Amino acid sequence: MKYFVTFSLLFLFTIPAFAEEMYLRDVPEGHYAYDAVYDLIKMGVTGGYPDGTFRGKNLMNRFEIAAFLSKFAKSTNLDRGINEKLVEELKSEISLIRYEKDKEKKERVISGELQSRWRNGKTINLSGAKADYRLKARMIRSFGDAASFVINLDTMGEGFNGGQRDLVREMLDLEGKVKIGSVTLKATSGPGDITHKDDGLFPIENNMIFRRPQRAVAVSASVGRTDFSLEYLSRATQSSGLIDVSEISAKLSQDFYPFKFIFNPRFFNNSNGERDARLELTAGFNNFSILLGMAKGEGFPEGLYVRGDLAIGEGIKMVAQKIGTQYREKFSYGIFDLFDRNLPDGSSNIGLELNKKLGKHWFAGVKGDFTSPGEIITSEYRLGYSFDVNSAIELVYQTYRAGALSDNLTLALKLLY
Amino acid sequence: MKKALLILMVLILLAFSALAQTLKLKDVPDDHWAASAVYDLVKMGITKGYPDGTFRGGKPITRYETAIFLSKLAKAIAGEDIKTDIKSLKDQVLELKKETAKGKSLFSGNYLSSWKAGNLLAARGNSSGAVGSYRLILSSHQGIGDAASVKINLDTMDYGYFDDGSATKVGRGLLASELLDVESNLKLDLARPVDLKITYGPGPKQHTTDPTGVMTSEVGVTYVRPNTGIQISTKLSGADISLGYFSLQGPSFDMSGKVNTSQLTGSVALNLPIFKVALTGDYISHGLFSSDSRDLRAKVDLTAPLGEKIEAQGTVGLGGKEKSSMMVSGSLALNDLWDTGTVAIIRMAKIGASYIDPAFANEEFYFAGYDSFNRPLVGGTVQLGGVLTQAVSDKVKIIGKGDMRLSGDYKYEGANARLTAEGGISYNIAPNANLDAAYRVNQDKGAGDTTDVAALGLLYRF
Repeated sequence: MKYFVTFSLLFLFTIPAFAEEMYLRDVPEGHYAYDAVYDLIKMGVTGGYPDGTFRGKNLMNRFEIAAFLSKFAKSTNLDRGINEKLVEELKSEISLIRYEKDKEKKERVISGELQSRWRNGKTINLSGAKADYRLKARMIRSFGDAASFVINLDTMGEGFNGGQRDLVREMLDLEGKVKIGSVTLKATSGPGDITHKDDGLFPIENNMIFRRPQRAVAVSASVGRTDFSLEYLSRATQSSGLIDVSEISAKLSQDFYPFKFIFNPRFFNNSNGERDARLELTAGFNNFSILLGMAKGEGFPEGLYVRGDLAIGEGIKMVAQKIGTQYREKFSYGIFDLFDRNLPDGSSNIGLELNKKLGKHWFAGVKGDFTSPGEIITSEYRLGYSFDVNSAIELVYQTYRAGALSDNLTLALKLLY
Repeated sequence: MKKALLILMVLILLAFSALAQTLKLKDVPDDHWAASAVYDLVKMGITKGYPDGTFRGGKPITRYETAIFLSKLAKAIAGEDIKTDIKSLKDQVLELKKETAKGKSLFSGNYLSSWKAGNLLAARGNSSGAVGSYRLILSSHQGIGDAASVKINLDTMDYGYFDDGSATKVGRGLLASELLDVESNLKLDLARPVDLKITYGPGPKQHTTDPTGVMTSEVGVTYVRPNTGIQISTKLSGADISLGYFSLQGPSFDMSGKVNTSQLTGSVALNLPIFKVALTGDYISHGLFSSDSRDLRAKVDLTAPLGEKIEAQGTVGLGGKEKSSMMVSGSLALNDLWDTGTVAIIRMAKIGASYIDPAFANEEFYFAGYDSFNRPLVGGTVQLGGVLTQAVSDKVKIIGKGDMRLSGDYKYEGANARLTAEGGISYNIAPNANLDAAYRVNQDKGAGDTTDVAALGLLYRF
């Protein structure tokens, strides 16, 4: 009703001659047809007779009805038109707000993973239980396609492991990206590789490395099937904060499906002015790839690194690698086994990983790793149940033999949010 | 055309008519030639026939009856349906706008990733070296109703890989007591509107040492953070009046939260026709209020906008009655005066040797203000400095900064003589990202060395 009055008022202004001074002598206020008659006057359908009467009891002829209906149609048409326009405007406003909200949502996303574990470990002279957690939180803010910014927080092994890690330098890492045409400029600030120290109960995890982003700036570009990137990164820092070892890595990859080739020279230098270089070549065919690394100034085969990777479907992964005894003699960095532990120079390693979905909710996995010298055998058996895509519970049994045998059983709850 | 229109409107109404009733009129059988038209009107609620259940379709119609029919029809056509639509749409718009306003308060801030190489032109046995570091400032602002708001800031300051050499946890950026600061604002509607501001923060934090040995010009750089305290402010006959109580921590930061030094501060600011004048008085004492060591200070600030593009500012500070406890400083800002994209700020200051009270040297370290590199000014010196920014294009700016510190008698010699000059270029590569490159030379006569720093920084605002 309010809107009707509003729109009627609108007509009052558009038809002032009729409406403002219109008063019909024979339709007094309180008459049973009073509202109806004045509504029609406001709509411009009638103005009564020129003498200021409506003569409501008079009968109508077809001409009069025609005149009423014609004016009526025009008026309601206008009225409805205005309303319809308003509806359209409101609808488009709503969809605009929704669109912007969705965009905003896409541009600012907080997500992460919480893993809580209850575990029992056994070594030859120690056994006991432990409860811990690992929280990963990620905040993404993107500005269209041109730029994005990510803050990551990762508590790594610090959920009740002594609490020595520092927030700013170890738990946080950040990444900023800017795209200019086909060139991407990326700046990351992160702690790099963080080595986990175990207090004795879980020797399998001692010296395990959390691979976090390095402090780095990278420029990358892709043209057709060729990708090129140039990255400068800080590999090690002195206690004062000075960069000790830095690396410049240039990477050129070319995709001739199903073949793929990567040419990756890496240059290292440290604060004493020493330099070194390594060249890594990768050739891939479908799901098989082989990497050959050569260290500058080292002999054959001491300065050689060979690694083969094979993936069959989603479920099977095989890795075999052999590191020359002097491959990383200068400027060491991590080369990892399947359990994220660094392999020393001179070692050979093979690893196998099988994962299988058992029906809708259940899943199982087996992972094994053998490293020589040391004859270190690590194995992991995993049985899990996923409630939905965001949560799963897992039972994991691990054994580790490096001379002495140790094992542990873990119950883990994983939540993605 | 009109007929078609009416039919159309009637059809639309039919589709929406919720109040449809199956009323039967005795004298209008279903096979009557006008039956469908009559029942349409009935469905729309425009007529129900006579109370006796007849329509009397052959009877002539009076003008009143027509008026009632048409008026009802007009209401039906203008459409309660549409009006309900409009109302619900308007409600939806309001609701969405509310939600959007809520969502906006999430996070903002910036991330600076910087790479600095120091002592490139190493002289006198200095070695050169590089540092890669980051600084993250994350702010969250949340309004609580119209009268209150909370702002939470996280600032990693120099902790992004800087190491002061101490292996202890102190000096490694404690989250709650160093990195975070919290500000809550409350508008009180007393006899006059009063703003109440409560802040928790570590206070200005100074980068005090340079374990790298290659970034000496960074020593003294201060991250301006709020002190812990409470402030009330109001307007009284045109003057802005505020009164505050703060706990001053100084660089010797007490993590226990104990109030080691209190500051009681009051200020009155007046907007006069040509300039703005602000008078500030401080009472500083050790502990919660102690009579044995205290400092009474006063400051007068004058700000004069000389036209739209020039602003002059002057300050006289009194740390005591003696001439050596006073300071004067002035600055002139030219904001694109010649329409050439040039912005210049020139500053000079003379600070008395005991302007900063020796008994409160730690807490008052920033009281004389900062130079162009955010290093605090010290007592017994004369400081000349400025910043010149020249826009080359929409995206590129050249920035020059310089500061010269002289001895109290205007000579470039002695322990305090220092000259720092920096030239740089800032390139706005994307709306939210800047790439900055700068080169800085620092000559420190006190330390007897000259060092340089080349810096490259990527700044993301989000």
